[in-house]
Amino acid sequence: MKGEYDKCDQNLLSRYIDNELGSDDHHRVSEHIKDCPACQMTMQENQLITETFKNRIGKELSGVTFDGLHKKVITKVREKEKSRLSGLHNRMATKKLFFSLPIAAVLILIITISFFNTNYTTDPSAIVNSINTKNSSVMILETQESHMTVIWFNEAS
Amino acid sequence: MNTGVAVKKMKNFKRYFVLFLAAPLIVFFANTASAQNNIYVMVQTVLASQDTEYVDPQLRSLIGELQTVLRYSSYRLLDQQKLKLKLGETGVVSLPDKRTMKITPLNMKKKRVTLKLLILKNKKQVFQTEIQLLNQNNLVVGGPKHKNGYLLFNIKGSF
Repeated sequence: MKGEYDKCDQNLLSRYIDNELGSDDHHRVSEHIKDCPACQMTMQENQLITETFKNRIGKELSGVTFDGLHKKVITKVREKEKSRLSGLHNRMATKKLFFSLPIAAVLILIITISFFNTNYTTDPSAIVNSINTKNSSVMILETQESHMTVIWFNEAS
Repeated sequence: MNTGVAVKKMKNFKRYFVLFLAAPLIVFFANTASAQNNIYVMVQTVLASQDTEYVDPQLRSLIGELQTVLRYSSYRLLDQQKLKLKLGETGVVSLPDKRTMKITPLNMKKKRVTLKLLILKNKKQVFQTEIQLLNQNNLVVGGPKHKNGYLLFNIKGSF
């Protein structure tokens, strides 16, 4: 190793390990490591840490069931969607109420008025105050259902 | 810009909506107010006979009810006249065989209107009655002979 690579540079070494160096620098650091026991030691330590980390991650990941995780995520998303929709539905329901309540009130009012306006009574349709005929006989009848009054007279010829 | 248009539309919609709600009430109260001044009388002239079995389609509900007291097989509508009268005003209805009917509303009490009915033949009075007719109800006056049957006068009053 010559020049600036004669010295151990932790930063360069770290980038070398992470494979972040250009081809020239990579080559030079490789050459330096061959002759530098300290850097070799650092390399080994780093490799050990990386392997340990990878193994640990691998173990942890092998314990994870992605199906369950997928289900959990989907459930969460659906719950959020549902609450959003129910909010929307509530707002729609409020709007519906806003429009349908007055309409219903008016309809009820009209029906009530027309009901009370209609004569549901058992009284005769007509009460006869007086009858005046000349040489005629008169009958006053009343129908059974609607109590309609019928006056029948024999017209004198 | 869009919000402004939406607000304008909403205002217009509210106006129409209020009109939509108010319209039936206005119509109802207008009807009530006008009804207080006028009495509407409809007179249907019907020929009842034993000739055939026939009921005029316009008379079905009336005849359905009348069949309980009258036993004719044919009911033909000869004429129908409508009068719009004020209290004390006399309306005249032309009837067959030179007959006329004079109708005069005398007074109104609650749900009834008092009507004076006069039937004349050749300008001579043959029948007179005074009745208190229930609003939206009818009275049938019958008896005069006509052709091969008898005349019925269905008198309906509303106010």
